[in-house]
Amino acid sequence: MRDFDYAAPTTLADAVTLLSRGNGAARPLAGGTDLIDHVRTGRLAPDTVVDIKKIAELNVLEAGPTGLRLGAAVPCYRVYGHAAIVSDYSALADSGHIIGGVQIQSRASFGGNVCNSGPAADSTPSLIALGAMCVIAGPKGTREVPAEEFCTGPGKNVLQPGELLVEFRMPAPAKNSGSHYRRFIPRNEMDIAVVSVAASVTLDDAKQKIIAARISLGAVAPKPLLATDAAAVLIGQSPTDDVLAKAADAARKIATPITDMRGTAEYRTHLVGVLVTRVVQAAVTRAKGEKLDYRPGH
Amino acid sequence: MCHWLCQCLGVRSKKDEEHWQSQWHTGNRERHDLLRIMATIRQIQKAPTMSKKRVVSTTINGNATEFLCEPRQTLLEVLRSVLNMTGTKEGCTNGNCGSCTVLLNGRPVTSCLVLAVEADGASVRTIEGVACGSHLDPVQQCFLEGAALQCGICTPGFIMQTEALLEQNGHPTEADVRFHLAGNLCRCTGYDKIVRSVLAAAELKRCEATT
Amino acid sequence: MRQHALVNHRRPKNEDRTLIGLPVAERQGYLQRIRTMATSEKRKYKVIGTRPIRHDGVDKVTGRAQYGADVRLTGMLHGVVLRSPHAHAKIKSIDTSAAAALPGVRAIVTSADFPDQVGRIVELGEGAVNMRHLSANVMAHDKALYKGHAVAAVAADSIHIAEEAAKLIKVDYEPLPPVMEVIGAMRDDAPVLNDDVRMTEMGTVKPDAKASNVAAKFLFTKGDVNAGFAKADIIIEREFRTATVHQGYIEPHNATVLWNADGKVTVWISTQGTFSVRQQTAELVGIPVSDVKVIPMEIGGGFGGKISVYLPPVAAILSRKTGKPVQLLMDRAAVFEATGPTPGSFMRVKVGATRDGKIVAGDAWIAFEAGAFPGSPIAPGCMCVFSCYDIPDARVEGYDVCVNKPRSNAYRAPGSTQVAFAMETVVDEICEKLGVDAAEFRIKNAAKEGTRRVDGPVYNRIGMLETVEAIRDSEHYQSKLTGPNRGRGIATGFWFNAGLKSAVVATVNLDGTVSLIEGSTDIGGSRTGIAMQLAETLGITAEAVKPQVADTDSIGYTDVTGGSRVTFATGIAAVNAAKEIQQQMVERAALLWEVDASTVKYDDGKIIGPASKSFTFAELAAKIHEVGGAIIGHGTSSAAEQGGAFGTHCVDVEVDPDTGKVQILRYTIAQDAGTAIHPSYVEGQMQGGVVQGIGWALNEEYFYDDKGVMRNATFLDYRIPTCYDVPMIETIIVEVPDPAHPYGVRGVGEVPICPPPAAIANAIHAAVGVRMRDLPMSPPKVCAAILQK
Repeated sequence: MRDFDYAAPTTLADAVTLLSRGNGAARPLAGGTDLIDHVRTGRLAPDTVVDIKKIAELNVLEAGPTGLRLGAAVPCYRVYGHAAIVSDYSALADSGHIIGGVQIQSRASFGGNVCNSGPAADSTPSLIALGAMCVIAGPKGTREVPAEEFCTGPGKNVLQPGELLVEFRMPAPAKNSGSHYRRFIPRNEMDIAVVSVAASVTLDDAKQKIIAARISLGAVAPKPLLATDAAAVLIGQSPTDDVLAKAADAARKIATPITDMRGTAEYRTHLVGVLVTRVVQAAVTRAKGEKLDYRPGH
Repeated sequence: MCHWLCQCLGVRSKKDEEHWQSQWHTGNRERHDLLRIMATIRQIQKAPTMSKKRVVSTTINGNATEFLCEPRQTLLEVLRSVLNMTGTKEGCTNGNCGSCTVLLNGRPVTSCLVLAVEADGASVRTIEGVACGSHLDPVQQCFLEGAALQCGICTPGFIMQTEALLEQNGHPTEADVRFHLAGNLCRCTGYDKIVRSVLAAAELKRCEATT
Repeated sequence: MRQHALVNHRRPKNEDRTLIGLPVAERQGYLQRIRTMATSEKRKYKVIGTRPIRHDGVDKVTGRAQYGADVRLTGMLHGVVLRSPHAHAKIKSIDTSAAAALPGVRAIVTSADFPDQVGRIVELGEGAVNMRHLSANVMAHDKALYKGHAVAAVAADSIHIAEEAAKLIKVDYEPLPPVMEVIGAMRDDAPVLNDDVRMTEMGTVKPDAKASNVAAKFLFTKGDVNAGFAKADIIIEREFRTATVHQGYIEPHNATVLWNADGKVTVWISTQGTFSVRQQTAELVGIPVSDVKVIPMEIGGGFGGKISVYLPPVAAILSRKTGKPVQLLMDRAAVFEATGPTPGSFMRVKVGATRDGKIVAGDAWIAFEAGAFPGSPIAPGCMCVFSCYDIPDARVEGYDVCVNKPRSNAYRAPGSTQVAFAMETVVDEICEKLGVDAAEFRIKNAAKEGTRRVDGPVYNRIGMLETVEAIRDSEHYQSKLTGPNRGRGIATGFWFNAGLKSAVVATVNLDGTVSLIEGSTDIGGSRTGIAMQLAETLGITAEAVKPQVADTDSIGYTDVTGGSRVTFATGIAAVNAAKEIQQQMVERAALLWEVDASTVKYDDGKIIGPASKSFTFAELAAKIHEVGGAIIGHGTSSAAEQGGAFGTHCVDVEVDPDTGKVQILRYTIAQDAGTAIHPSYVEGQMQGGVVQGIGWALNEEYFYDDKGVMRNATFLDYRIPTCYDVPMIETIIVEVPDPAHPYGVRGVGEVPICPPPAAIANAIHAAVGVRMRDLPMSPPKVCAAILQK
């Protein structure tokens, strides 16, 4: 592996200073599950690796009446091991549970996953569907960016040199709401999404009609997408087959997938419709307070 | 101070940087001395081992252990090549086979994706620390009795991952076991006897706990 | 549960309890549950058929077992191989000067450092190889023939320095168009990979033949195929393709070599055959075979892929240049890109049957991708395609074709899985069209004793019929499968099983144990299987035998651990060694009793003399030195040929009709093991083979881009099954003893991989009504087939 230096700052200010210096040659290390492999294979060539796991702000995990704060370096196992996340921000737990195997989940963080900005990242669609804001610290201070605007292309995002993703903030879920994330993969685990979909829905008091919805698509465009039109189809409607089919159609329209070893463009576009239908149904089941019968990969 | 110079001089904090800058600005060095030093630094920079080795203090299998390593060395490399603990195996070097699974502060990790420097202050448990003296752990015993291995290269990783599972879930179902072990690849057994042995080990651990 | 010496059964504080903290009775319950007993325990033998703990087991569950990558030698250097980024390119020049100047670099090698080879064919135990091609595969000469082809290697003080140095080697390539697909490679206008390859037809080259990618043509005929088809009421002819797949062993290739100042070379390696490594290494570096000693380390899986050498000759030359031991380890990408794989294929199979369900004729045309150099398992593929059936008139034509992929190697029943996929899918379609039960059809047409295979040999006693009957009568096959998009399929498979040569030496210890030294490297517990046969013959316990795999200087010539041959052939050698020991024990007893040896006999672990005189084995062992030296039994096997193994599989699948994804719901395998020596490891071979076959069936493939670069050379994207992808694999051990072995053993390792792709294809058809004829049957392909329906 290429040589590099290592620093483990304990304050956000020190981390920003270290990251600012290198003019892009310093890379933050959270779980390392992508970074270390990328350095080994030569895809990344940092001079300095800045371990950000010792910074308190990046490890925050708090769910309260005002919403959820999820530190960028919090590993997946803490996400799906958090009772409030499992019940109120279920899509996040769904995502965390299938990123790599359990060993990867001990280390990999949502922040790292989002910052790698892969189109097929498993955490990004859930964050988008749950309306997450990304809190970014940098040499010029702190700013916030909606999750759907964070990624700008494969491996690209809004972070400027010296900037660091600190945490995600999500609003508290409305009454009668539920969310779900699912991906399609050839195996049942240990795979990269061919297509992925996250959805968050809110039902009316009678738990019949959808009054709010957000749908996000992964692996079908250069970056994870917020499927606004697909969600709009659902508003005011009961989730009938017909309505779901319309939402699926709307989602397919914004998919511009590529053909690669994980699937052809045609197949991916087809899968978008299949997954939107299934994921919205699952989110509705959860919004009704019913137990979702779901085995990852199946 | 420019980035490469910071690196060459081992500048890692603002304090370090202030120290070096004060050295230069007080003018206590001749110009040619500085140039000579910088030339030397450039040479060091070209040499393959640029970054200084670090001292890392860990607890490995209950024993306080210190080792020297470069930042680029993974925990797997240090275990195998610095500490000669070759029980942890290397199968893929990118976290996809689970052969190098160890427990880091009680959590299972693929040690090929952990920098050894990250283990500073941490506790590490490896396959070498599973048996209690000459007495096998129930997981090892059940793998042995249940013929859960053929070539055996994946076995240390499977045993560590099973230890982690049974630590948090003493009553796993077959589906729990299969999901939890999905990050460990075995190409010989078809997994049948591994899964059965893990279920048996869970039962055995429960019995041990009650006796 | 028998107590045994391998494991300490005592806890320090709880002396009245067993090691695992349970009273013996309770403990038995656990052990019963973790051991699937598919066959009723037979008591024909005392040791054979029991399930002792393997002798190397404790080392392997504690991390103490030493594999090739665990070798640590004083002064050891670390090497890295530089590999071609191009699938097909001329190597115009290699400049190593910058790499050599890097501090810490000790030596660099290119093909210029290797002696020239003549194009001699050498048999390596599971396939023959041309030495010039093997040399060019180990280090590319003037052309790189696949992405990942070795072009140079560096030894340095650390692996990191070696990696950096390798990047500094400048290779000037002239890229050539890659030839990636078998049918395209056969065309007259295809770029030719090797200018020394001319097509041989059944072993001979036509004098006017020009250089070609088609290295060999095979043709086998039996009867009159046209006359046969004329009798058919139904003829099904279909085309099939299978992708390149890899053995996928978890342990990457490794070699540590010391070229000593006296010219002697020692190789520490994980290999399927030490003697094969010795021969290949000696020839490739140009020294006498006896100057090379190969020390077998534990081996982390092989499946046929760890027979051919890649690293030892390179490490040897690096060691010669530096005077220090050199260790070379492949990374996973190199394993995928430069070792293995098994060929992709194109096949056309035509089968005719009568209305009453009798196969009357078969015709097959098969082309295998050999990879960069000739040597695909096309011949066994041709021999296997109709091997499960008694077909009066048949014809098989096969081609060995070079393409710009890594040189193909043996993979578990090499060639048989591809052809079983084609043949068994066609058979299923005939059953469907005729409306007959798939098991009954196979029973009616099963090959049996006396059936002549298309390539000539006539079967001895075989168990094809019995395995189909076992499936037909199984609870699984008899049960009703319900639910939408679910289907059941069955398929059969065949593998020859090899005999070849083995040697063992067994020494009686004074405490009544026997030390057993053998030459067969142990990949999956064979040490114990061999020891059990020695123990059975001597009438002692399995635990009283101490087996050990020895280096090439310490044991007689032994062929590779491959061809499902070890438990069979090395087993015969062990039985022969035991018989020598019996004879010597009888002679010693006679001396002690002062009677004529003809009055003493060896019976079931006892030495019995006249007038009620007797010794147990242990009693006599304690006294042998009173009347002589050590008792050493030698055993070899050489000429014995196995009778072949058959298996029949039954699988239930559920297909997601919207995504095309296939889930395996239930799987049962029935296989003829002849006599199961250690049933747990027989089951393990069956289960492991099935799951490899499931991977081949559903998701595994080399995915190449248009430049011939493999895009999925990781375990992330080369998707071998995880435990979360498969159910328990139910096993039915069928025992039709092989007359060629004293205890009736048949090899069990390879044949279980053959039927799964066909069985799953047939199940998919039953579930959703589409015929899949292209491996892998990955979700996009199944989905497309469903949408086209």
